[in-house]
Amino acid sequence: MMGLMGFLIRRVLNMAAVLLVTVLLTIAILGPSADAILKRAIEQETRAEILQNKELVGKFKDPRELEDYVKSQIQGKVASMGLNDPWYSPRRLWAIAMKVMTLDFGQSYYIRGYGGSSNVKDIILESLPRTVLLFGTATLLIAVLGILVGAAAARRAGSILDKAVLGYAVLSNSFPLWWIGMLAILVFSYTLRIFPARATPPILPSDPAYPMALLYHMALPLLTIALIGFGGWAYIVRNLVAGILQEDFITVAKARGVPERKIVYGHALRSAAPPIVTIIALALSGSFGGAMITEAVFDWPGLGRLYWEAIGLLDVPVIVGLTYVSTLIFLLSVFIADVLYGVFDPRVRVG
Amino acid sequence: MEALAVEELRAYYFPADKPPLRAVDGVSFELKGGLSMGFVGESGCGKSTLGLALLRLLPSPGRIISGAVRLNGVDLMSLSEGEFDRIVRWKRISMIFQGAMNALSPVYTIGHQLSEPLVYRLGLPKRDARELSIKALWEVGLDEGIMDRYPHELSGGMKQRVMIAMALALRPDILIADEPTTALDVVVQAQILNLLKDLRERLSISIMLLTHDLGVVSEIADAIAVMYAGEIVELGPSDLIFSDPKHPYTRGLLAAAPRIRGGKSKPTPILGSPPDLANPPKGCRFRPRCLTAIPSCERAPPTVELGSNRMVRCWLYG
Amino acid sequence: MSAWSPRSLWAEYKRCKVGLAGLALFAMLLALSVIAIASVPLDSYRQWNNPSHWTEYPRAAPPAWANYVTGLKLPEHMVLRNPTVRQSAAGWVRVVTHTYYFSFLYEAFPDDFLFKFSLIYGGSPPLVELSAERPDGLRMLLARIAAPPRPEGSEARAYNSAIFSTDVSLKVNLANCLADRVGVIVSPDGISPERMIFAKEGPSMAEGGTGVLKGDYAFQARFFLFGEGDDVLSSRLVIGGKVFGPFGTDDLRRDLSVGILWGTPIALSIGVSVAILSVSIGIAYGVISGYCGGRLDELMMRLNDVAYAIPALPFLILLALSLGRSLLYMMAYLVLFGWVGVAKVARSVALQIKAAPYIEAVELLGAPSRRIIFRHIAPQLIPYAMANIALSVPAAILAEAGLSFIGLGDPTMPTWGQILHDAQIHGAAIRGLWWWALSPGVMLALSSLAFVMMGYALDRALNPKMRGA
Repeated sequence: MMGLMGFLIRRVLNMAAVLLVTVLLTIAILGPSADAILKRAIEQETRAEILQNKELVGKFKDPRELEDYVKSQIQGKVASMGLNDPWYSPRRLWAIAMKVMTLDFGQSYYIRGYGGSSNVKDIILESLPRTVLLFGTATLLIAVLGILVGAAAARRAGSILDKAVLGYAVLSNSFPLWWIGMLAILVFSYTLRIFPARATPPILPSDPAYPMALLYHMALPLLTIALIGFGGWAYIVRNLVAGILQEDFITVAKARGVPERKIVYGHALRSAAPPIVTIIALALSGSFGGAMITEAVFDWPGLGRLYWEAIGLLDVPVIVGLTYVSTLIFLLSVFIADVLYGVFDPRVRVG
Repeated sequence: MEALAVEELRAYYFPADKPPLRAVDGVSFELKGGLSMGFVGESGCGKSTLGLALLRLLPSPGRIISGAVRLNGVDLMSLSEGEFDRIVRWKRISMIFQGAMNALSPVYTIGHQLSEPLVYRLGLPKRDARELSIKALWEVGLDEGIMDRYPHELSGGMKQRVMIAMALALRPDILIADEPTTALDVVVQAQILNLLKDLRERLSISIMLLTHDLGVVSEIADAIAVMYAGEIVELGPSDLIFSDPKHPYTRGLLAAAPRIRGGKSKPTPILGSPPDLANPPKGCRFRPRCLTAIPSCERAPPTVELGSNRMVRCWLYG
Repeated sequence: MSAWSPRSLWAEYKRCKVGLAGLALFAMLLALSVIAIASVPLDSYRQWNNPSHWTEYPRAAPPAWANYVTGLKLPEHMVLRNPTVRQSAAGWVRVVTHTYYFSFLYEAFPDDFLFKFSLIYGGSPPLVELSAERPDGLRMLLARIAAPPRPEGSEARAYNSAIFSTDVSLKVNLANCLADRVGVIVSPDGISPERMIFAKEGPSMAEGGTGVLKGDYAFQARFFLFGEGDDVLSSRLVIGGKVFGPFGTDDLRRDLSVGILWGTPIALSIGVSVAILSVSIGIAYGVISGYCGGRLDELMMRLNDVAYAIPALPFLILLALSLGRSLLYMMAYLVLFGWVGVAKVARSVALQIKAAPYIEAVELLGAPSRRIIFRHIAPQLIPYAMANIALSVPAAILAEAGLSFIGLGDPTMPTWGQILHDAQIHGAAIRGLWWWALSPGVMLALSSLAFVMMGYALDRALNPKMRGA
């Protein structure tokens, strides 16, 4: 198993590099405005701290004196955090990187968590499981549908099914996923009234009926994402499997009596698994954005909707936090794909 | 009596909106039980198609057009695909494919792949199939330790041995070996050829050896069929073909080959290149490259019988 | 990578029906762009986010053709701007008549109506009299108003005003008219003026009428002008309907056809320029990396790997928020993320070409590497670049739409994505305002489909291997 370990270590290193670049890039993009966010947060914190200390406040007779004291305290903290250095100074970069690595994104401007918390980390961590639930399920559904349909199309290359898969892949990739979400609401919620229009259940999470309600409310976004998403996967799988079906070892397997079904779903699909996993990991990056936006359309209370709200309110700390967290999720899913690659491909596993 | 008799076999490829490729165009020969016959020709002469056609494994858009194939007197052409698969393929006729590198599935262990014919063709339980597979590995000089290895962990020679073990596992009457030694280094080539020779004697199977390499044929074949542009242009016992080649193409091939038995002259290549199989020259297909062409060569050459089991298709003898 | 010529490429491309369909679709979009630029005034496009520009339009009206689909005959919203103008003078009074003729053939009454006018006058205020003539010849006085008085001898100035169907005096006038001429007593409180004007004659008019009197109507405004330089500058009549135009209107009364038609040239130029730029950059990057090889290649490819692994959307959001969101910036951001995939493939193709004997020959002749890259390697990549550009266009169009949809579009230029953003904010889907959500998306899909199809056909023309399968 040394091969697999080595492979995974390489992937982890690559991931860390990407994460580091992400951090640096965000800092570079936000640069001075990030400083402003930070200073503002310090100001708020310090002020609140002092004003809550009644004893301390009582010592000042003149409100102007108090104000001067608060200002000097804030100045002191800003200086102690090194905020007087420009944002690109190495010390600052390191400090910001450390904050980001510990998911310390400071306080939000307007958005509050369900418990009323204004800590960006809390707000994001509240939404995270819902995003993972929706897209985890959707991705599984897409993978199963895409692989089965793609392999079936490859098995009958040139058939009506095969052409339908190509056509559907082209069509479904031409539509923005979130727009299909709007249409789905229009058709299934407004016209047919089968599914609720808002994906947030109207009852509290503590209610025992909550899981069922959540599932019911999740159905429409889930089906939309899965049905639009699987076309592209099916096409990728179809091309890879069809290519492998031309290989010599497939002819040999057929000659030695392996049934056709086992050839397609065993030999061909398993050989195609590593490239499928790689290509799909890359395809994830394409669909990632669309999926986040789709959350907002369905009002699914995950990261995507949080993004939508934060952009609407220009709540910068939340947006910055979301950038890191969504990059992290994305990298993690690519990493999972890499692990699967290692599992599927004996050449990596042992060699 | 002959184990395999092929008469006027034609197998073409039909690419979309193009004229068909006549890859095998009227091939006839007989192969006696326990003997081996070499099919020699440049790449693209139709020998691989011939092998695949006999196993009915032509890749699309290839099809057998006409001809008769009899195995131990049984007409194979009258069998349905299902019957052929059940009765003949791999059980009676099996094949070692060109390019041992790509002939094994990369994602299954050797043991799994070796067991497959035993499980699917003979219906053996997995455990018995595994035992038999280990025996088959011994037969080809491999150790059972590789049962749980993957193809990419084996050398080319080992993979070719596995292929041979797999092809012989069901004890077929006919083994088609398509370029069994190409892409192997010289020492391994010799080992594989010895193995084939040895197995042929021990198991008394007939071998059809398809190769471009005269050296390989000379090692193992009792008879030789020289193929050019989808046709057999000369056929006869091995020693006679080498000592007294009749067809200008055969002579050319021998002259082009590096000397096997210590000749003095340097190899001289045949000029020109093989014809387009979609639109072969009229008459004798070798005419454009033939140094001894005569006007009658513009008509289809006659098949001339030259004594015992010897045939040549050339106007020089007609 | 074999040698290619435009002609052989076209010959191969022509064989693919999908490609021809894509080309046809593209031509259609181009035509639509031309129509948009020629027929929709730039001004109404510029006014997109100015609510006061759209007051004459109906709120959230479906497109006019919806009547054919639903089978209902809902009245179409009409904005009439070209009256028949007549002038007559009697002594020191001049009378200018603006008459609007229109036929009203719908099953339902209009929502409301509005008469807007613009006068110029000095001292004595002009009088305005608005009346309607029905298909059955009945003539009804709607309103008679005077412009506000101005001090004697004051400078002539423009005056804009409007008569609304909701004015109380209108109801009273109409009720009087019905009592006098038809003999129906109508309570002016209960029934709206448009029902009194457009109802079939009969006793039922008292309860608001049983049906619409279909036929040709004429609304006539008579302006009585008393001063020397006084004049009527313009007028218009708006008959409020329930359906409007080819694309309908949104909740903010905007005529969607303006945004959707103008969206076409904008989306096409975003898509094409982003695609061309990012593919060119990607190819240059890949070719330089592949051709130079060695450490530089290694470094450039590592960088490429990292860039590949960064998800685009979060960074597009950050960029838009911190640097600005004008359309040009937007396009630059998209290029920033667009070149990465191309570079990798371009590198492998460049490596193949580099190994070709004639490149070696050129190298032996001592050509500088810059020349080899741009004169010998890059041209060979043109067909590959074309297929890639075609396939990058939809990505760019959809990415811009996505950014606009989450509310980061250029506020000075409406795009399809922004229309959908507004639709989402106003709950168009949940409220069943299908035309608002449908048409911008269909346009998006058609545009990307056109390029996907062309890219597919180009790909097939360039990779003969794919053709058999």
